[in-house]
Amino acid sequence: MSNTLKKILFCLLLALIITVSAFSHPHLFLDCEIFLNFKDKELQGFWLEWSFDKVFTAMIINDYDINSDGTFSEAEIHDVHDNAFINLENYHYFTFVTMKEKRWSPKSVSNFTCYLKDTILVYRFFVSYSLEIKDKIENFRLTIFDETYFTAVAYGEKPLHTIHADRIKVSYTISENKDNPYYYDPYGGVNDVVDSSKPGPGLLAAYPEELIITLTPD
Amino acid sequence: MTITRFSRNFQHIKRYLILFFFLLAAVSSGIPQQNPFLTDQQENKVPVSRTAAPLKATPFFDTLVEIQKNLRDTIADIFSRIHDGEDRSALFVLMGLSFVYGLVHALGPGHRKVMLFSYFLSKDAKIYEGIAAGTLLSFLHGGMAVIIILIFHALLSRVTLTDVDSAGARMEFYSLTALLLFGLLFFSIKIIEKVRKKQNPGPKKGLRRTAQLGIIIASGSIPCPGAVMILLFSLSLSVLKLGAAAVGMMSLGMAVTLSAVSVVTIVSKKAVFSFAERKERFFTIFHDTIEIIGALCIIIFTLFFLLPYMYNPA
Repeated sequence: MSNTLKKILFCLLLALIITVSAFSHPHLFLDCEIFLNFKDKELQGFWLEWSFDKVFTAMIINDYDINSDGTFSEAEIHDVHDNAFINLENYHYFTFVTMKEKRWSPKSVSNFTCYLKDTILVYRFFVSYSLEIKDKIENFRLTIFDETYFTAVAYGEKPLHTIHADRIKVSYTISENKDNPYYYDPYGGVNDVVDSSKPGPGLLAAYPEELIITLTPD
Repeated sequence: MTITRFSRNFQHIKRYLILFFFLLAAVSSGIPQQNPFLTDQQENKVPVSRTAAPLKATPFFDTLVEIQKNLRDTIADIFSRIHDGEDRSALFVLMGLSFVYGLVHALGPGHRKVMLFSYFLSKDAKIYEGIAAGTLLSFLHGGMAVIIILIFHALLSRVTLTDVDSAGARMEFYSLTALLLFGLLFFSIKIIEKVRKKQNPGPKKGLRRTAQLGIIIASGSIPCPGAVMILLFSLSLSVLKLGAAAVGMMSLGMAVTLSAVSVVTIVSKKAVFSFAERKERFFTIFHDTIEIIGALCIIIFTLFFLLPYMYNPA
């Protein structure tokens, strides 16, 4: 084997190892939509709608649509909540809000429901977050991000919607914030609580896409 | 003359340093994953471990994720079409797509690529050994998913994702424990071989082969979560045999990726160490050191994977 070929192979190995180190390994895919819920000039929180891939959809139907009628009854929704949702409280519900460079995640959420929309499973729940909008607010940021990378989160063509936004104008862009990493403990377990905004020993950094929102009162 | 020799030596050392750096970088990735959505119902709850993430997403990363999502959705559609009797000719497409899905899926962290890299760094091997190891590991990885689903299917009237996920986590723990033991055995044999090199033969060939085979088998003896989801999906449509066939093709795809990692490691190692054939003592020591580091990395890598279980005892 020629030296050049050996060098090429060696470089390929290095490239492969870099590739292997750099890319994640999702097993579950969800498309996220966010509905900002206003009352007058106050943001009261937001609804999250997560549409899952077909395989996870089939898993949940198989496990929890016990009577196989293609819809989830109250009892079945309760089962889904307890068995295939509530564990996300250990993962901040994948939800991060950044305001004035302070990051916040919900400890609990409310009004969970799930349903099938064109044969696709949708989770819908409400995250309470109060914000009075007296003046224009720029750089209000929302991120839906699974730090375990088990779940790949995607934003659709139009991921942000509003409810009762008669007195507020909302605009947004989506981008990675390279100055604002999300820190997490790669060896943390179910009881792990890491402040994702602060670096620390053993923590790794990630740069997920954020919705950068501008809120302007009329 | 001395400067020229130093310069040449420095170039060689640089190669080792680069190799070692990337080895360490690789070891730091690929922690085992569990589904964060699922609540473990068992009393002896296994901790949910997390995985190392990319430092930053790139368009290529997004594309890779998108490809996997589209492939899996298409596979799910074809399963449904075959189940409904709409398109039986789609069987070949299903097998082809399952193969591609396995190939792409195994590119991500996990699937013991780092272990294969460390393993073949620690021993002189032939190319066919690399292909055999990659193929064995892939089919074990996919095969364990088939076995676990078959067992649950035989025992339970309704196989749930939560049950399989919990069982997978336990199997991961036992697999890692076995891997640690075989890794320690392999490392000890390596040390004894290097120390006794010039005096008398090292441990018996049989023991070394047991350790080597043990590492590969212990590594692959966990169900691939991707394969589990395909199987559960096929089970929900009552086409489990078709699901098992798809997982077979998926394993073949993973085998291509894992064999490639092994073969490129073997060939690259030979290329980097080819100068050691001159039997210069300095480089021979380096060659032995790198092999021992490779064996040590199998242990370190396993301990990294076991860390979440140690930090969060049941």
